[in-house]
Amino acid sequence: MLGELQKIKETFDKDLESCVDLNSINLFRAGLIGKKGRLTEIIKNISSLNREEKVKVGSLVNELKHEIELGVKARIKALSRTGASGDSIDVTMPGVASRIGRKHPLTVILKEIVDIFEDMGFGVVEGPEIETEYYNFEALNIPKDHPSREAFDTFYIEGTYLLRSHTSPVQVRFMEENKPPFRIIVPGRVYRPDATDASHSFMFHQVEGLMVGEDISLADLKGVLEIFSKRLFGKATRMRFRPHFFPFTEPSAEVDISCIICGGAGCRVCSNKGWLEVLGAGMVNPKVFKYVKYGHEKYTGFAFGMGVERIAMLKYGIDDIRLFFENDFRFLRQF
Amino acid sequence: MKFTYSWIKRYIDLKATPKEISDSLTMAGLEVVSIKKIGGDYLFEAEVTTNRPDCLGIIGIARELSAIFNKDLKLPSTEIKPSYMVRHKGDFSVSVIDKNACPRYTARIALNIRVAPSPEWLMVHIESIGLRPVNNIVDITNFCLFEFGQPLHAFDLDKLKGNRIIVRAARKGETIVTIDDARRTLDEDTLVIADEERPVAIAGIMGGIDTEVTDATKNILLESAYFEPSVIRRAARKLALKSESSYRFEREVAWDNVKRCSDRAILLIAEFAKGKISAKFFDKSKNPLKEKLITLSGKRVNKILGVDIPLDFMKGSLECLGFDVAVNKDTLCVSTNSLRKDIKEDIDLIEEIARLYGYDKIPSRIPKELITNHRADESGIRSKTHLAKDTMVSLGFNEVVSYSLISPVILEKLGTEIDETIIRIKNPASEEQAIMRPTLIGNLLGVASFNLNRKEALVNIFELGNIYRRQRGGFKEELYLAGVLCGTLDSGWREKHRHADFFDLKGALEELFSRLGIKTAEFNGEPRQILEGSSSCGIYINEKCIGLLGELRSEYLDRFDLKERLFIFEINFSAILDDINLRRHFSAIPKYPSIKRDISFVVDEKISSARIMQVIRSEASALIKEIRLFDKYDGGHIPPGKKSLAYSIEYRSNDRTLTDDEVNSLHSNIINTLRSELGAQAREK
Repeated sequence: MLGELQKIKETFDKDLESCVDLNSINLFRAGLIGKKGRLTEIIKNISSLNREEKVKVGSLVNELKHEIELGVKARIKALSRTGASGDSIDVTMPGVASRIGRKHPLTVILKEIVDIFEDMGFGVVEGPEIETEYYNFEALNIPKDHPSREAFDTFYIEGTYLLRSHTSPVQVRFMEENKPPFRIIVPGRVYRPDATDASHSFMFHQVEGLMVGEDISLADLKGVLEIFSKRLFGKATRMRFRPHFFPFTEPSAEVDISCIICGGAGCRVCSNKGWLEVLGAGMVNPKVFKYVKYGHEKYTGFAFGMGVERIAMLKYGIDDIRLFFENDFRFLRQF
Repeated sequence: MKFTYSWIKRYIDLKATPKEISDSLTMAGLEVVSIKKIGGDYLFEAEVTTNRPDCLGIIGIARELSAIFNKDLKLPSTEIKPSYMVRHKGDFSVSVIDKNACPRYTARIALNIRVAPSPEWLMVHIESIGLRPVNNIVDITNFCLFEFGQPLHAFDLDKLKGNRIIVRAARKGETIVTIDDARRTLDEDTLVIADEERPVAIAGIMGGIDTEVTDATKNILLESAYFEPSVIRRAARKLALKSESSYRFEREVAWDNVKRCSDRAILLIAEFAKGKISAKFFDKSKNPLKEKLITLSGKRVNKILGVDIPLDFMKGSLECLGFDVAVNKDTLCVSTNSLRKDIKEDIDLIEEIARLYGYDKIPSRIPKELITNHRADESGIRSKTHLAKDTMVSLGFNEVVSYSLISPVILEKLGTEIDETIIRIKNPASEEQAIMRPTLIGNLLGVASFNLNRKEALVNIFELGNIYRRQRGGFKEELYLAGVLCGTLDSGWREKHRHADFFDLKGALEELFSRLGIKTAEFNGEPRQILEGSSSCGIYINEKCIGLLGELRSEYLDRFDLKERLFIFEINFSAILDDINLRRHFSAIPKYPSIKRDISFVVDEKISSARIMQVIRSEASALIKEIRLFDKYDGGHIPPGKKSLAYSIEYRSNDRTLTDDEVNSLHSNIINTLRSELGAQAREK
């Protein structure tokens, strides 16, 4: 008898746990303390025991009966919380929710870029896409009939009106209206009549930066762009300045970052160079300051520019610039 | 620009490996884009920026290397020994008519030459950079062109008519057959080299076939000149003809190289073609170039670069690059020269010093300058566009970015007249990109069609971007927000799928306006022609129409290859910028509870929801906090021409708890008013 009691006690918790609805709980309860339950049978037979055993078994039975009643009650309560009727659900079925949309990857990357510069105190300025030759070229020291214009094939509208081929005209517009010191960035659309292919588009986005003051140096430019490239591409990113030529900056540089795919060891993405060109930059050419009537040699400053699509392509591993403007859902929903 | 290791070694005694050469040139601003091993030699290709025509000659590149590696530069001899010279008995003259287009023209005659194959070493050099050897005369002019970056041209002297070279503008309609065997018709914009009868070369671009050097040539005239870069550039563009010569003249050749290179070539001709050089050197120069002195302050160099470079280093670097430098305390006096016409101001010299010092040695510094003029997003336009985008995305819409340049076909499909307000590109790359978009709708329909045809069940998209139109006195660029909703709304396995409709899109816009703090948006009025009259409307803010919403008419569906019912909206976002209110003001959470009562009635179908709301509100508007339509029913047992509507009205007072009696009385007043004003019949619950 004691052995039987012990058995009931040992398996009770497990057996109760396996009851997943009200019906099985009732059956389980009846199997123990119902009319023909195992515990009821023991109680019926208690009288056949001697006095000493009676006391021992009796108290055990009472204890167990109480435990059973409490356990069953708790189990019923628990089940009534999970499912109304105690019916189980298939928790592996998909959840039901309306899907949120996605921002375009260019919006996402542009915000990331802008945020980094805003954290460094740069203000965002915008300018017109329909520009004049003066702002797009002349005031940026790109004279007519000069080979340096070759890098800037341009869509014309009429007369001297054109679609800006870079965001740099906003530099001039801003400086005409404002006195240093300042630091700004200029995001926007630009246009060049390039034949469209996987890496060229007749329309793309640029972010231009400009900081001017009484003591701004090439070292400051390096500092600012280093913070930028490490934040955008990761702490391990290294940066390299290569001398280059832009008419509106001098000294000028092309800025490479260590390849974000191979880390600089050389791979297909960086054409085995270990470096990726991401920015053009330099010290504002004093001739540009002259155009905006800043006092000679009083101010120095730096400017830089980058292609937003190029940055996004590198960061997300996108291999075709046309994907940005095709707006295929299978592309858009990845960001 | 191509060059080989062995050719470079003619001028500089280098030990560096090809990789070292490539890396150091790249880091000094002459980017080497490829190195190829050819036999025992190496072929380099470098990208020369437009400011450095001096590096379009191999000596120029050697000069860079001599400065980088601090090695002497050995220039080829250009001294003509008297033994090479003869007196040319013939009578010959050179006249330059257009001195502005041709500031310097030199010519020299070589007699009794023997045209033959070039010597081996010369052939190897010019072949290594991709040229085909022709004969010693042509090869020598090519060799010298690549050596100095100064184009030369040799005429067969005996084929020139009239013993005279004339540099003049072409006459309209004049023709020449160039050495590539093409007949070209010229006009006044093109400068030519002519004899007494006809043009014999297009100046700076290409020679004529009639006077070219052949195996039979005995006497030649060697031309070396400085043509005005813009003149050559315009002509080359006009004729769509480019050559190694025009490439260099466009970028400006060095005044001093004109004679130097001519001397070098004539010496090689004397040596390898056994010719005699006429003592007479024709040199028609407008005025010799004057050297200029640039004063460069060491302090300014270090200020701009943010470094501390010693004056000695500055002086040494500039001297290595071929400049004469004098020191005066903290100042350098540098004389410019014709080899480096890009050096005109002190800033140009600062760049030279920085290049040779090494950009990588310039430290990174965080700007210490204070911000005193920081005007971030004064108009709030960026926060407003961000909020609009965020809201649209959270409402399930996907953002698209589309081209601002579109095909006129899109406007035709939309029935938009291509009038004088539409901006056309004068030189479009193709007709597909000929027009600046005056609406976002066309592109969005294109994107919708693209995705629906790729089996997307639901297309819900928006774009926030500029549209462009011409207006009096200029152009306008305005921000527009537009969207498309089309397809099946599918929230999973539990609810039935259904087609998205007008109210889904309207609901999204209501939520958008609410997020933008615009409380007064109204949807009514006449829509535009592309929308179905029965299911579309204008969008108004303070009685100003700022957009439209509705179903696209079915004939437009076909034009854009769309099949399902499709709903669109377009809002002039620039026009509502001032209405957007990002300020939030907290109102206290109500102290007293509200009471809800439902009201259900049958009313004439023509009576608008707006009108019903208005009537409900006219009763006890102060105590009504919210009116919500929760059911609409017609057909079935509802009489034709009628509809059954059910509203839930929430009553609340700000200063007391409303009693049931109070609310019941208000509620029955509303029912009475609806009956008397609109003929509504209350339905039993």
